[in-house]
Amino acid sequence: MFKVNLKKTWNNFTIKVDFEIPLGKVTALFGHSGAGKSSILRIISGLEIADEGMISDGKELWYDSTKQIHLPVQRRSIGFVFQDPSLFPHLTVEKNILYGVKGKRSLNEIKDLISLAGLSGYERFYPAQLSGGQKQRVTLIRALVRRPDLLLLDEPFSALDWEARRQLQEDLKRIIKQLNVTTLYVTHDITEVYKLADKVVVLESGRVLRHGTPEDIFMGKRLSTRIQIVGKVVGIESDSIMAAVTIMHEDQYFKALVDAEEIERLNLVVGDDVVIGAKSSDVIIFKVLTQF
Amino acid sequence: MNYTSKTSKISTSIISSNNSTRDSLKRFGDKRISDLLVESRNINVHKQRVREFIIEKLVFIGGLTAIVFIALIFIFLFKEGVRAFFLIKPMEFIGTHILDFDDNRVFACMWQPVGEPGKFSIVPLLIGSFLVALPATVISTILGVGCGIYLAEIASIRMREIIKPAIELLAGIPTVVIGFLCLTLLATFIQNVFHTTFRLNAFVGAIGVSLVIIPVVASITDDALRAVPSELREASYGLGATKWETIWKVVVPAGISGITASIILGMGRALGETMIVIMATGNAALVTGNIFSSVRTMTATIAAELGAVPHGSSQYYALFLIGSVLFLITFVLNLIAEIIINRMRKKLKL
Repeated sequence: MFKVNLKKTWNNFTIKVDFEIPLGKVTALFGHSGAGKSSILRIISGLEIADEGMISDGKELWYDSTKQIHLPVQRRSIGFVFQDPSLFPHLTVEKNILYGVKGKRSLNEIKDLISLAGLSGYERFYPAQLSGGQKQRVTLIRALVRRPDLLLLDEPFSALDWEARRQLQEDLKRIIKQLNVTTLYVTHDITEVYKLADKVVVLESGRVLRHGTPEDIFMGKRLSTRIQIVGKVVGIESDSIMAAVTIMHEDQYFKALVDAEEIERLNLVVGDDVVIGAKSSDVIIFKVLTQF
Repeated sequence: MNYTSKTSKISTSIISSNNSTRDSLKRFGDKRISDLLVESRNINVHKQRVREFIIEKLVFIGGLTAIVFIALIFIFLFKEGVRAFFLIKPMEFIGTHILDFDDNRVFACMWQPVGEPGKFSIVPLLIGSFLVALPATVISTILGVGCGIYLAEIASIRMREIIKPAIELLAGIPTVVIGFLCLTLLATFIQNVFHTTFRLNAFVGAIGVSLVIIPVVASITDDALRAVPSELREASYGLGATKWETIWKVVVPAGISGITASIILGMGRALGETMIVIMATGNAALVTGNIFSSVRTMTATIAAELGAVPHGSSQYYALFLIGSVLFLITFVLNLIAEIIINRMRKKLKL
């Protein structure tokens, strides 16, 4: 269990957080831009130093202001994937991946990782020859090949279009589960939290608002069997009784009819992130007739 | 809650507010205030357009002048240079047959333009120029690139604030002052250390010239390395690399196109440098490979002789030919630099 307890003040912004990252699980650091997500990630990685607090990986202290401990970035067992691909432009895919590998590592293992990310055949390519999604895969593999204790992902898919993003989300989930690596995932996309995270820490202006499982946080209660559609509200039509809420989930539109009062109660407006949920007993399925 | 009724309410309120503003408009002479406002705005727009037009044309002319000047220099230089071929046989620019002390006919590359007949081989001058420029480029690459790396990657902000202006100051020292120091102090020191035959030689000149190029190389290298995204450095640290590993394996290779450009530009300046070489290299047009021997560079030859040469003589045009050759060399050098940089950029997409 990673323990993170930090305080850092910039000119007019303070981060003060205290949370835990369970081992072998994906923890999402969720919040709107400017909430301090990336800064926390940078402090945990050691690229920046907190004013006070403590970071520990459960065995070793990475940072402790009272004991004057600050492990430099190089000595923390981390893998880092940034928002923009940070591949070394002068190295091939293979050399990029092997950059951080000290000593001998079996070639098969590296080959396995490369094929796990769907990058077989691209070993001799330069980053400039790859698509945005492929670049992020290489960055991910480069981070994972060192077998880090903690994988830090800073909105790794935000620069990609939805199709590449969806594919990468699936791959990331698969890879992380297969390697069982502890992950801290920064995102402002609620869909990603749902897809990937086991635990979510909600941040607002540098403070932890809530933390728990995504269901607990975003739905208030746990539903045993359910249908969930996570997305952004793109349209609300309502009359005095019923309201039709159109939400967009990736590139798909969904329309849900709800009580107009619900819209009022939630103060729902276009642009909100929502989850539409229903118990399975409430769901009716029609077969669309194609022959009359 | 009826959504449509809400919007209709809003739209009626907009219309009514429009009416009220219309009513409240006061008359100003025969024109309404609103009309006046529109008119004055039109005048402003017109003025702005004229101003933009003038600025655009001025900038365009500024850009054009540079090209025009280069073209004019090019034309004049080559027009005069080509006429050397009417007066001197092309072969003579490489060498001539002369009688040696034992009265044997030997082929020799000599620059003796005032002899009878004049000998116009540009080979010793080319050798002289490169014998100064190449060592100067090597010295300034080592020191300049090192300095650039230090400034961009290692120096604290405080150190940077001290060193950067100091380097710019070095670039600002008149070359004649550097030449003077080379001639008086450095030449003696070099002779004492290396026990050279010639007190003024290519090596002394090279050191002097490198002092002029180091600031160029250092500041372009500094710029090139600072343009390398910080994500690359952080990614390297994140992968367990130390500061030195990061610099050598990531930052320098990523900024290599800029560094290459700085070196080639520096070499171009070294070839074109005149005052220092005229003072510090001894000006003897020898065909030699020894950097501790006196040499005469192309630039020094032009500078020293053009002022004293009869207009329209063979020597006059030969000097223009040397100028053309120098121009061509620097042009080709810049072209190569451009091609290398473009290739690297394309490959690395920097």
